[in-house]
Amino acid sequence: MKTKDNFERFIENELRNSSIQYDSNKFKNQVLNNLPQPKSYRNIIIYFSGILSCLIFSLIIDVKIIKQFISETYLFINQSVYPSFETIIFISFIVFVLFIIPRLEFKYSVS
Amino acid sequence: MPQSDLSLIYKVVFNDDHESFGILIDKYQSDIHGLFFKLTNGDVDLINDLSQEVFIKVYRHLKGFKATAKFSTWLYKISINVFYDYQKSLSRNYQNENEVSVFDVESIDNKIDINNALKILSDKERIAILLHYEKGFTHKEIHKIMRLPLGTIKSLILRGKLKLKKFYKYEDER
Repeated sequence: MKTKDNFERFIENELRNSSIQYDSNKFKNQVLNNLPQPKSYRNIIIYFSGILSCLIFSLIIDVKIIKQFISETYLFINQSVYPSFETIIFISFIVFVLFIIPRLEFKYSVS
Repeated sequence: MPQSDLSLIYKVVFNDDHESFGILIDKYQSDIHGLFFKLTNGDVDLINDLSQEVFIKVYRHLKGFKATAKFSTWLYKISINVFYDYQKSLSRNYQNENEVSVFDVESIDNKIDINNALKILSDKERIAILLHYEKGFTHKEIHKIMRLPLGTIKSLILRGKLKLKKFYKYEDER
């Protein structure tokens, strides 16, 4: 390995002696406050808002219709009876809210 | 007992542990501030902004860190990218003055300290010199950090060294 000459040692000493020592809790707290929220915390918020919007949605349209969606889904799973178009839209919406949005959010906000 | 970088990274990635990330900040904030201090000629607000950007980027991309390299190498790579981005944004607004002549530097401050001497180097030379002589990185590591060919790194360091030698009017020892 190549050994350092006198000038290189001189530069090394000058640079290392001029290094600043920076130790600030203020800086650390600033960075920590600006970090994205923990994943689990964000997911709880998203799931909660998704479920809340489903509830509001079910109050706006009728509870009977929701019952119909549930029974049609049950029939589809157990007896392969094809559900109505509205049921498909409703189930797709639920799946979208519960699975896809958190994934998109996590993909674009953290990594 | 101090925890290793890898165990801290593990906690941050898998548990979203901000406390562990705080320990990483404590450990490296001096180095990053010191690097930006020398690259930006000591503008305190700018140094804080750039350093903050570095740590936030580190947090966001920590999942992608491969333990094949040292964490410090990866950290400096991000820091240099942040500095390049800052320079790009600067050159969009202003005519960039990369090279400062020896006379300009001396007229600013007669005291020839290393921070003044570094001003005569181009940004790339300055980064390579700082990483090699101050931080102790090898040529290979600097090649990974700066993403430039190994030969270019060697010539940047050599050119920077010669410029500094001329600046200090340093004569080889007898």
